[in-house]
Amino acid sequence: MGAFDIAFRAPVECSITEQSGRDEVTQVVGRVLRAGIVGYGYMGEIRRAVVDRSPDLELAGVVEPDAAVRARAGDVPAFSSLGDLLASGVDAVFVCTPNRFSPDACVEAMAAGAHVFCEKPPGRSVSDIERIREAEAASPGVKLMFGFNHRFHPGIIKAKVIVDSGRMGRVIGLRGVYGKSGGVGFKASWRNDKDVSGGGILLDQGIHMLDLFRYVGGDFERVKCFVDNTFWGFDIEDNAYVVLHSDSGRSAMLHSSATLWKHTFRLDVILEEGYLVVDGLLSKSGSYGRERIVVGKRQFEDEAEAVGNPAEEVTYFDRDQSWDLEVAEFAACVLEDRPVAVSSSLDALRVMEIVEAAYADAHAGPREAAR
Amino acid sequence: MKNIVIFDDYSEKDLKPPALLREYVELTERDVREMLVPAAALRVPCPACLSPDVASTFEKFGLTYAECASCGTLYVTPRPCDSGLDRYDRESSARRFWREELAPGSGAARREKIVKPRGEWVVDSTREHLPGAKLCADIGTAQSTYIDEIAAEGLFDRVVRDALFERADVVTLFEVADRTSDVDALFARARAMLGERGLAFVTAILVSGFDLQMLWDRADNIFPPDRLNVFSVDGLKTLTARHGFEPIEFSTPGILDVEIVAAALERDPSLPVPRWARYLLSREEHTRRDFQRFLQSELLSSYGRVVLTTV
Repeated sequence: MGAFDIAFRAPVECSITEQSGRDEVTQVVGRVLRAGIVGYGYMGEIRRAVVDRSPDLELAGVVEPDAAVRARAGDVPAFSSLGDLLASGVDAVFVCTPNRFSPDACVEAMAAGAHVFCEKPPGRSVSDIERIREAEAASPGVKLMFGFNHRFHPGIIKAKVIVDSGRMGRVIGLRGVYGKSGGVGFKASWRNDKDVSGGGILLDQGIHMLDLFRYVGGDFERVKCFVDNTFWGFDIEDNAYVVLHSDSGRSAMLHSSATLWKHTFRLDVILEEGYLVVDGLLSKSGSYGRERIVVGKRQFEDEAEAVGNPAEEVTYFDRDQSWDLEVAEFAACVLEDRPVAVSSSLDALRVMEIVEAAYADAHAGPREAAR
Repeated sequence: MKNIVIFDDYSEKDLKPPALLREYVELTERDVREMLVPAAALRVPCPACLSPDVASTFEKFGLTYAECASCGTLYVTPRPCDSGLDRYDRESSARRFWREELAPGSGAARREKIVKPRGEWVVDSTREHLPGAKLCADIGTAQSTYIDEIAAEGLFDRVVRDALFERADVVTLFEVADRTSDVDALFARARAMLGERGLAFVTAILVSGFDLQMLWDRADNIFPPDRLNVFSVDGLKTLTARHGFEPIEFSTPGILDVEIVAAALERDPSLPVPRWARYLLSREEHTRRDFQRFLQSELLSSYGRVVLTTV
């Protein structure tokens, strides 16, 4: 894959512009946003389908350095550089590039006054997301949201509603397993090239679960981690085992894996008065199984038969609207000029801090186990 | 779309004490014969799919139930109009007995097992699918306890009953479609109240459920006017689609199908229940529970609950 041209070009078409102190910021006056997609690989094509379905967006063009891939864009303008797309006049861009290129693309787009939706992870390191946040702060009119689409999965939405209701008490702990088995073209994927991706399965997939830990349970102050690279032999981890702990006494643990031969998604939320389990995940392939949430209430000590096997309610979901709901939220933030409250740059920073702390702990080396 | 499976432990006896229920049914039969049979002049096609074709019929309390040959919905025809039913609700001794004896007599269990979970269902589902909803309007629920429970959750600015033609974000129709003569008018009104975007919460007894399929005309809980329409799963989907709704949840989280059939067989072993079902019902508790869970997950229980969104 060729490098992205991130050379700045000023926008030539803006609806209204106003001085924001440093750069020009585009204000949207129409009800439909002209959107561009930056990076037309796997995620870019997914985002295009969502943009095509959205009543709030129209596709203005795509950016893709690879001419053969660019040709797949069909009847929309296809550019080889982000600057050309921005110059064509867009309100928003979807950054779907490999991790190495995401920060520069975000910074360039925001500097040009475009609102930005960026896929996770937000770059390869904490310094990457910090740089993106600096650009965001310098362009106060633009909206910046990150693609933690798992927050919009139906099982997670329901879990969040139950936790936030307070009906089952506070969150005591969380446990997550998220893993895959590789897949077609896995060995050749840029995701397994450390220079491009910045990390292995933890940064690529496990970051979703870490984000959900924060979304459902709040922040964590301490991180421990082991990583393995025993099967695939890449220069990045194929398994990560992360333990988190908060000052308030809440704990969480994650197994993120590229060697789960049966694709698995499972999030356990343990509350004072019960538990939630979200397992299975609606996806294009269906390989993670049917998404569902199990809700169980603790059997209390004064009951005659407290056997640790309480009655449960199970909700099965058949329709994944996560991509559409997520983009609708982004478009609403832009059109209604309200702050990005879900999957914000602060959320991205916090989860990247966890990932980086996990890698640092893992690479510091384990202490010897007592014998 | 989503589908709920619920495990809980309560029995029909907790919800409807047998002696009180027997008296209620006796009063209902008497009142129906006196007040509704003479008023039953409306011949109707299937209220769900509008098919005029009838597969079979049977009689209860002097009124005729027809089984729709197309969608399987069971419905009374000819039937009284809604004004006749209103008069029945106001003046019948059966309804008075329900309000003054049966409902208070089973109040605590009903509140814990039925009313409270239903309130949480409405509130949680609204938070999931229509955050920001402000007004919830109930249409036709006989008891205010459901409304009180929803209001107590504190999500809505206003929760109102029978607010004719008032705009709402959410409407609830708790078993009201079962006992309404003009079902099309009911759903048209709900749809009009919701405008462009809203949610409707519907509960209903479903004839496609296990206990009703097994017991059919011998089912104790199928009688007019409480069950003027007993929709099938397919019928309820057709009816709601015709009025501009799309289901985002369709569940049959009934707990009691297996228990009801077992109890009916115990009372009357001569009931025409198939040999395999008799064998199943004679198995261990965990087998019966697992079968009830299967009924729930495959939309084969007779208690239906649906969340609809406007399209």
